[in-house]
Formats: sequence, C-alpha cells, structure tokens
Amino acid sequence: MKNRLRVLRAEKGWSQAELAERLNIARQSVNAIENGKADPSLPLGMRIARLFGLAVEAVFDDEV
Amino acid sequence: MAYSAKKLRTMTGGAIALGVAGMALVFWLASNHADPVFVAPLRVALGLTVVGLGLRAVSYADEVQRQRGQKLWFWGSLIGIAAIMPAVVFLQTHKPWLDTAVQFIFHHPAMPRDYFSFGVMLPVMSQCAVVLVARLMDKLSPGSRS
Repeated sequence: MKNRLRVLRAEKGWSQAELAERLNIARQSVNAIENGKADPSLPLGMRIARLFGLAVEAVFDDEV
Repeated sequence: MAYSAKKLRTMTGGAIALGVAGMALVFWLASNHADPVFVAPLRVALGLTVVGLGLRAVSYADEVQRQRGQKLWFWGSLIGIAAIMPAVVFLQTHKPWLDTAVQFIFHHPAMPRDYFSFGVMLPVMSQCAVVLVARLMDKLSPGSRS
C-alpha cells in the first residue's frame, strides 16, 4: 500500500526515530511502513493520521 | 503488551543465550553418557523455558515487527524444508553416509534414538538457518537504514 508518510515526516522535520517515539513503535517499523514493506493495522494507521492532523485516506492510498 | 525496545532486546537476548548454553549443556551431558532419564526432563524444561521467554519477547514487539517476523518465519520455514529435501533423499538412499553423519554428530556407535534425533533435528535446523539468513538479509537490505 502506498503512503505519504516520508513526505509528511519531512514536512514536520522529524527523523524516523522521532516519529517512532511519538507512535511508540520501533524506528525500523517506521522505515518498513515508509518503504511499503509493511502495512499498518487500522488502529496504527489512524494513530499516524491523527498525529499529522489528517484523514487516513490522506496518508494511505490503497489504489495501486 | 505495549512496545518496549529494551524489554524486547533483553528477552530475545535471554532466550537466545539460554537456548545456546542449554543446548551445549544437554549435548555435553548426552555425549558423556549421562542417564537419558536424567537428560530428558532437562531437555523438556529447557525447551519450555526458551519458548516461554521467546513468547514474552514477542509480546514486547510492535505490530509491524510481529507482522514481519511472522512473514520471515513462514517463508523461511518453507524454504528451509525445501532446501533440506535433497540432503534427506540422499541420506535415505545412501546409508553409509547417513551412518557417518549420525556418528559424526553423536560421537559414539549410533543408537536408533540417535537416528531419530538426527531426523528431527535436520529439518528444524535447516528452517532456523534459513530464517536467520532471511533476517540478516532483511536487516541489510537497501533502505533499511534510511
């Protein structure tokens, strides 16, 4: 699943480690999501979207 | 349970260290002709403790780590089984090689139980080895440090 996580994180000026700390997940997990190697569950996806003040569909795109 | 990097590292390290030390101890006892009735419960206790610690470790991983770990174990196990098949077929059809392999590992005139242990050990070791390689490749893959 495609996502805009890397772009959104860059806009905030956060490192992967900083974002991971805010979401209480591992830095490697942030990296895996950004690279499309792993898809977050709905609760984690919603936490990510809420952190950036956006709707889930504004962060994740399932139309590949 | 909530994600905790420190607890995950501690539990995983503990499970691996205990597993390796325990296996070495059991192997040493078995090689020195210790009473199998004494060694068997030790093996069971060791196995249960390592599995317990491993499960505890997984409970401290985050959902993405669990998802990726399950994927690596699934594919690693399948590939491990497939990879060991030629060796299994070869040993089944070349008994002198099988005898040599079993005696090389167990260091004494092989008993039927040694052949059984070898048969159980071979695919499991192959699965674990492939999963380990897959984990290393996953860690070293491009982009994993960006």
